[in-house]
Amino acid sequence: MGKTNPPFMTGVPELLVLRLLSQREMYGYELVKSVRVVTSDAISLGEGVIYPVLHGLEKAGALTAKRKPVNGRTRVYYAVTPQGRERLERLSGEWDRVSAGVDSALGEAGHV
Amino acid sequence: MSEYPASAPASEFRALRRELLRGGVAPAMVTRTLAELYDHFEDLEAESMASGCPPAEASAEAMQRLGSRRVLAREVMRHPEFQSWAFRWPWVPAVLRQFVLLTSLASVPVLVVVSRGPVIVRWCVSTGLATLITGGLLLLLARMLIGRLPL
Repeated sequence: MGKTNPPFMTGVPELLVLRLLSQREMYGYELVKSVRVVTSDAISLGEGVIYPVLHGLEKAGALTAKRKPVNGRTRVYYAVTPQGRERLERLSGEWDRVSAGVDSALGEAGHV
Repeated sequence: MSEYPASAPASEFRALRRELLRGGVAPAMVTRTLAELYDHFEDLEAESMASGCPPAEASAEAMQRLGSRRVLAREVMRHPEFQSWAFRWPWVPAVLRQFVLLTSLASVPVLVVVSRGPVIVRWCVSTGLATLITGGLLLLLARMLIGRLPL
């Protein structure tokens, strides 16, 4: 998480990973590139840091990992499980609540 | 470590491996994480070379984008569920070691008897026969002596 503030970013990589993988299965490198694209480079993950996040979600049952041969190389593709979709819904709800709260606070602070 | 990509700074990966193992991460998880990091490194390196970077620079840039060893190790070790059971419960290997030691000590005589069964049977039979013969001779001798002696 090079350019971002790690304590403030807690839970964000997990949310982004689940959101992107809920659309289609991907491997780590592909996923990091997608994070960059969908956040317009606003969120820059330290690329290797994605793997502990993926493995943690897999251990929690939110993701499955499958090895697939692609162009003579074996890639580990991750996909969201039904449990992962539930987790994504919960995290999205929490994020909306927090974000609405921060927006409201910033709006009020602007009017003070 | 033959699985490293030829151009990867192997010492960095080795050092990360050592650091993770020292930090109590399960060996299987260490191997898997490093394997995926190598793959990622190769992709980053290929991306840099495709954009016109010379191989040496591409390798350095790929390592930089992958993240520092310290950060990678910290992020992996932040997950207690990645730790090996021996690290989580250090008393288990100690108890197992003692159990194996005691079991092997107790089973050694039994194993010796089982593996040298025929020899032991021969020894028992010959000792028994020798006892019988000696005893019989002694009894005969005693009887002869007692028979001659007026009681």
